[in-house]
Amino acid sequence: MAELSEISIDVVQWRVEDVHIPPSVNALADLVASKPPSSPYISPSDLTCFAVRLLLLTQPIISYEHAGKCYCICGIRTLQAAKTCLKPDDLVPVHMIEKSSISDEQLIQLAQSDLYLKSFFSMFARDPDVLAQMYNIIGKDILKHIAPGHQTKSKFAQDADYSRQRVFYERIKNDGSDSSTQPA
Amino acid sequence: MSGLKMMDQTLPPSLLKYVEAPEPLVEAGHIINRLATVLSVVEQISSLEHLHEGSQLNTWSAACLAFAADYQAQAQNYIFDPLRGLYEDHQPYVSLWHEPSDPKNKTKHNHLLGQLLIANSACRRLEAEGEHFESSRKAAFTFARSICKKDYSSTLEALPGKACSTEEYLSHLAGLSDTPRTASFAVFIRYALGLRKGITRDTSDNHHKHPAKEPISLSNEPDIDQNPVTSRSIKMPIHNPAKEKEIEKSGLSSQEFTHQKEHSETSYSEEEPMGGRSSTEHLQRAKSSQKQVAMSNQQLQSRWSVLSSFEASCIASGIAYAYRKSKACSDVDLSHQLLELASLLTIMFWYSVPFDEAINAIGHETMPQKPRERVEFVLDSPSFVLIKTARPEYKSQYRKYKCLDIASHVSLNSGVAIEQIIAEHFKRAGKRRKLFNQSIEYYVRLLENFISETNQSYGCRLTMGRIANCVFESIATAPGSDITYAMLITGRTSYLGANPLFYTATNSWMLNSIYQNTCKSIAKSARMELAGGKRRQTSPVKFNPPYQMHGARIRPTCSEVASLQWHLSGKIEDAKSLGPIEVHNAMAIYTSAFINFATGYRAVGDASFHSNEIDYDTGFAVISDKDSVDEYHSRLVWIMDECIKQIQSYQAQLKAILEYASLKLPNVYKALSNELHGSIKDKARSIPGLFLIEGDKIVPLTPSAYESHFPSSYPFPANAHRHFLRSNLLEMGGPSDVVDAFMGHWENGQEPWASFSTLGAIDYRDIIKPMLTKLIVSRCGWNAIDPYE
Repeated sequence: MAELSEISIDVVQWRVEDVHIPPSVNALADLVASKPPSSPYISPSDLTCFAVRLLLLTQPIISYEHAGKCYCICGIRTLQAAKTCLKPDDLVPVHMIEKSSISDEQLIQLAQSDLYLKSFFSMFARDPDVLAQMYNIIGKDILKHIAPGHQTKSKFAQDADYSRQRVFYERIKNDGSDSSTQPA
Repeated sequence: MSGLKMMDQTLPPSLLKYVEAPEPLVEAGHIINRLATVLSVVEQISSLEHLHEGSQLNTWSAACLAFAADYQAQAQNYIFDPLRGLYEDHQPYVSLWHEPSDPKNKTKHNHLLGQLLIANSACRRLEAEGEHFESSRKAAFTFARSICKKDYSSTLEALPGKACSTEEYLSHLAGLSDTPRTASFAVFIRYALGLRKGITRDTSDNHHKHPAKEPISLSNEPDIDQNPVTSRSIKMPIHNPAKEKEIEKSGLSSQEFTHQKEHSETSYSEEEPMGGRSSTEHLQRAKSSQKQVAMSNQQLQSRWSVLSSFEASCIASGIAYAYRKSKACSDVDLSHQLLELASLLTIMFWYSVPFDEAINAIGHETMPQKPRERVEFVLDSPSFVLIKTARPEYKSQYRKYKCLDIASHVSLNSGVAIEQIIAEHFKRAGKRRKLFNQSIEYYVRLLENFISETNQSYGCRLTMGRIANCVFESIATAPGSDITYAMLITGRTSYLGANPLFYTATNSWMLNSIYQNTCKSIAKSARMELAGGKRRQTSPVKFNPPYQMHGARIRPTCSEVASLQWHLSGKIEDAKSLGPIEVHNAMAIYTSAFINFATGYRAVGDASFHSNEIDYDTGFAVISDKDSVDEYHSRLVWIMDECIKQIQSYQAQLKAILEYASLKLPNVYKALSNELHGSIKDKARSIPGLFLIEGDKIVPLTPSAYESHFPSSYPFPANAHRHFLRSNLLEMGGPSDVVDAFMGHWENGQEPWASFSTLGAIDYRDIIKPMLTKLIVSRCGWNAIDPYE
């Protein structure tokens, strides 16, 4: 992981429709965009504009600029809420990372860590299928840095109040084609 | 002049009033002398009829004679017309001054004046009760004066020269060559008699021979050669102004002479139907042409052309009378003639068949394999009649869909035993195939005599056309019926029913039931007495026609619609495991189908509603589908609760799509976000309300795309729901005007939602609500689906 102290951040106003998802974190975007079939869930469209503005303050969108375009790497869920509830040409505050201070690989790691931490640190129950996908996307290398205890599937599932079997293997029975949940 | 003043005091004031004499009298010597003669004629007529003036005639005659004797010497010759200025206000008095140039016609003119004075007196009494005859009076007295001229001596010669009753005199007038003056004179006398009816139709100058057809092209486009829609209309009215005036003077309406076939003529070129144009341009051009055809048909059928219940009673009684007479008559030829007449009239009146088709009727002993003629009689037990039904003329390729097996003829039994008349004739004619084997002229003469007699006796205005129109109109306006049912039962065409017929398919049992109810209603209102004694008015044997379908070829059943609902709702369930895009697409198709079946939306594009087109509280919504630029055919519909829930569920699901698209589908996000957040207040839409998502694109849900999702258990075109709705709503007893308002079927003059229309929105909803809910929700199982519930 990059040295956090080396990352410089500047807050810039962008039109919400001009903030994009970089292709490198598409898998994470898929995870966020797919509505979980069960479990308690607050839809972004259920939020008020005030709530979205609050989110933009407390869980900001972190982006970088490349070729004149703004790419979001952290706060994807906040971006989704902003895009769903605000008008396309509304301005939103975006924390801009200086692209030169961080490598592409580090950007991806940052995005993955953000999603993981926000998911696990939230007080709401999580969907086991989403957890399994997240575990496979993030991988053990990242987990080693941010939550070493979660490197093993058993501990990962246990902390989410599920059995290892429920999180990683029952889905395989239902949908054998999904390779993302293959046991490590 | 002082002498005149003195003299007129000797005449009774009642007489002066009777002849409407001026004050002072002018040309009294000549006129009063003539009046004495005319009063003697009035006295003779009075002896035949009990006239109002009868008691005073002796006094008046004596006074006139005494006056004339004294005054004779004072008569003068004037260079100018001495009665100038008196024509308007003293018409009877002035008429007495005019005498025919030929002395031998004087008696006839006296009789004419006698009749006229009696009629005038009667009309004056009626005027005291509030009626007005000024123009008729003026025309009649003008006739009485002008007939004295040499030019009209032949007409005067044809008039009766002896005293006769007013009715007899009237029949003489009817026999004269029909000129406007004679006709107006006859009308005035008829007014006086209280008949106030027109004389018989002019047969010498039949309107069919009139050069009525003057087609005009409806296209104003320069490139007529490539015009995809070649529409022509017949210029209205069909008569020239002189003829119209003549008809109106005779007490009839010019509309009565209008034949339905002369209303309009529309044809579509089959060569290059699109002519290289887009479908939108083609539709606009077709709409424009149709609008002009509709404008040329502004003259909808008037109530004048429909028989009154009195007239229907007269014709029904006339048929029954002819039939009874034929049975009682000892003269074989006369008996046969009467039976033939009764049989022909039965077909014309009770089956609403025009004369030229009725005389081609054929008879069978048993049900024929393939009936071909317009009218075929079957001598079975009970007897019945096969009528060639109306059929919509399809231009599209409907054969690729599941089509009903439509029967060419409908089997009808009136239920009031009138088939016995035809059966009797058929048997007496040796069960020959052709029921009427004489010449056309023979039957025309036979009918005209009958109609003329009936009109004379009962003061009707029966004509062949009106007789053959009665049952058609009665069926069209009967409770639980519709103009399309009338077309199917009688096989007649109607401009107003031509379009709805494409959406109406019903069975023979229903049609026969409606027909029987109508016949019974006519028979009841007409107090028909088919026969006294043992004969019964109702048919003794119950008639069960074979179960066949008639009308439109496409009509899904409830189970087929239910299978569509099951299939489309199953697609939503399946899509839940596939992803939000698939769920959205399945929801769009299901919602579109639900809206179509709940509102009768035409399958021409996006079946959704804009926010300002729907009221979620009351369920009322406005549809403007396949409409012209002026939105003439926009209509109010009521949407059931379940469908509103489905629309809301679809709209809620759009937000889920927006959430997904915000991260995954930039193009869909942009379009959808603009629609949901940006331009929602604008009338114009940036995207269709109901759409499919393919890749990162929004694709409109076109009728062909919609149709491609139908299961094999529902092999129908995209607009089949309209066939389903109209046919079922009518069969469920929906009033035809409400059903037409719901379907958007109306022509000029029938608009249900125009400023002066009387259909109330609440009544409309109260009628349509239970029927629609029962049909769509209970029978077909349509319900609201929330995929994320």
